[in-house]
Amino acid sequence: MAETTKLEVFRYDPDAPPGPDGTREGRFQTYEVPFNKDWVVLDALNYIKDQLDGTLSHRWSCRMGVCGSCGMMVNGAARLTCNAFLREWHPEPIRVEPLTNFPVVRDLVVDMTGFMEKLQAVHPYLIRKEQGKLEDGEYKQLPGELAAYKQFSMCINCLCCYAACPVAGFEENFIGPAALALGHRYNLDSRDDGFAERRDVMFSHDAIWQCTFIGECSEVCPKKVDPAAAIQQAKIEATKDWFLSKILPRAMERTASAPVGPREGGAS
Amino acid sequence: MPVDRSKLLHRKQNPTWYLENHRYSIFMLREMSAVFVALAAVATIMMVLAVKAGPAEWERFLGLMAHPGMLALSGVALAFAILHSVTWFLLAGKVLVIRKGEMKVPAEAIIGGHFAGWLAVSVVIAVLVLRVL
Repeated sequence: MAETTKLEVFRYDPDAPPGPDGTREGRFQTYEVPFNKDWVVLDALNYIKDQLDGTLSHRWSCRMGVCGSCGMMVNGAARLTCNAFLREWHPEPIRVEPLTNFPVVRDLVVDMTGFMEKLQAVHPYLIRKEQGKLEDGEYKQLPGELAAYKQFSMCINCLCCYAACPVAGFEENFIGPAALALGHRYNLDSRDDGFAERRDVMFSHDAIWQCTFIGECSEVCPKKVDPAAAIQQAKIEATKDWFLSKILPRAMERTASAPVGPREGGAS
Repeated sequence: MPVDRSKLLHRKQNPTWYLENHRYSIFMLREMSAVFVALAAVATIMMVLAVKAGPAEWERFLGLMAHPGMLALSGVALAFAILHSVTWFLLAGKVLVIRKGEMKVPAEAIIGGHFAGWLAVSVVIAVLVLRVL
């Protein structure tokens, strides 16, 4: 018989009746799949779905570390399953769970609603005091200005950083690593004037100041965004902003009331 | 179809999450180190007060600090203070952004600068203390 590997996959059926005390619980189901050294965990999950058990639910799309859909816990670590080879653990069994710190919709699928609200709250788009004319072309930027934020713009919203962050598990309202890194990315953008617009959310108790700099978000990030660095740098900006507001309150009032361009989204 | 929120499964965070990987554990030790650094600060304040109070009080303070229990506590405090300093300096590379034109000064250089500064200050203090002794 060909070599096989075992996957212990988390299963949760939302339509199953809750227990006598009203609690809902998941369980692990073990599947045996062919071992192929070139297979990633996502390949194995797709094999299960196609060949063994069509009731399994999981998210995926690009299979090449770009779309950010297939983030899951693989043997306790937040990973993109399209970038987690079976050979890393073979012949040991591989335990696949939905991302921690998120409610589970079904099996390996998590509810992203809270994250989407947090993402919108930091206004992750260019905000301009004055919109340029279309005929003037794009807003130009020097290579050095691009380099200032480029790393923080590489996020694919896979949510591995939230699953790795213990604070995100304890504090439901914590804006969290990916959203804060993206807010900081726009604050660093030379074309952006939205610092005052983002201040109330970015520098609030539920945002950068909840972060205790554990740093695991940066360790698990498949795109090397380094959200922990973004958050600590934002703390320095927030501190400078606070001191400036004490020393030059009038100048700060002007910044706060600066006209801003139209924005998309709306939650804050 | 919208998600039925009443059917979402909320999994509880493991209360021993800090044992799940070594980086979490080191973080917890770094946080705990603050307690011992504070104890060292208290000992320093006690030392200054003893100096101010005169020779008898100073001798009493030396006796207290020479107690085996106090020596053990000082050893633990020293270990935690070193852990705190080392882990903090290692993180400095993420926090400090120094640009030279388009290039960012590498984190290794910033971290190395911190350790070099630490070494330089330690040498100066060691020389001063050894001279007095």
